[in-house]
Amino acid sequence: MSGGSGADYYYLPNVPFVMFFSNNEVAAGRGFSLHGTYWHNNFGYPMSHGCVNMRIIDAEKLYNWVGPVAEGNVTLSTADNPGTVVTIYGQAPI
Amino acid sequence: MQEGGNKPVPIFASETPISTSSIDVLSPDGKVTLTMKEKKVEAGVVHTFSVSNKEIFSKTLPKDSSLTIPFNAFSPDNKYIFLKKTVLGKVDYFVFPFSEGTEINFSGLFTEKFGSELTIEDATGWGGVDLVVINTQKVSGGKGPSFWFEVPSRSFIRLSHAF
Repeated sequence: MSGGSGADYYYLPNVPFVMFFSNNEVAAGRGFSLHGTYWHNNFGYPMSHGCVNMRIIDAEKLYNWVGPVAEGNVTLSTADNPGTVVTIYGQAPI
Repeated sequence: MQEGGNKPVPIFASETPISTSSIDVLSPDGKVTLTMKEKKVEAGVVHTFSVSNKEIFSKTLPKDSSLTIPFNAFSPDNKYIFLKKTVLGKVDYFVFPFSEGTEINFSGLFTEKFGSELTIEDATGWGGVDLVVINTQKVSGGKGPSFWFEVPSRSFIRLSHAF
């Protein structure tokens, strides 16, 4: 997983249990996701520009619970294998 | 001594456990379990910490004090934990490196360096494998900057971003 630019550039290989989310306002190409996190342990505080950083044990549980049911390395949601609705509450922290 | 007939009967003073409790905390990657056992004795509370069933350290605190495991206690590589100690209302944070066997009281180090200007408000977790995230308050009032405490060098790095 990589992104940002300049001082915000990041390159984080092998991010586990990645679950991308998007809608008609946030394009899938922006790469926002829920995922496991191995490079920090400061959960509950802003640590990302858009992703939802989770403990690996929590991300694994969620990954195996939500849709679409994973089939191989990359699974896109379809009518037959729909994704789970993601609802985001609150406002982005300053 | 008590009298038992004509023969004195000795009574030995000893730490009498009043009650014990135990909690387990799993590391974020699920690979390591930290266990804290608390045993109340006459002198206070004995806290014993084990990692995956191997005892790493023990600490006795007076009554009316506490030693707690913060939610983000484990470093990302499971080499350190940080803990919060409260004695008579005074809060201290310290890091315990599993490999060294000695605690590092970074609240004390912070006070030595910045005590006239800032106080630690809280330590929230780990910004990297050996960086504890610290939020501060200004002695003069108001929110202070955030810091990283870098464990290997025992140094503080002031951050431009407040957590």
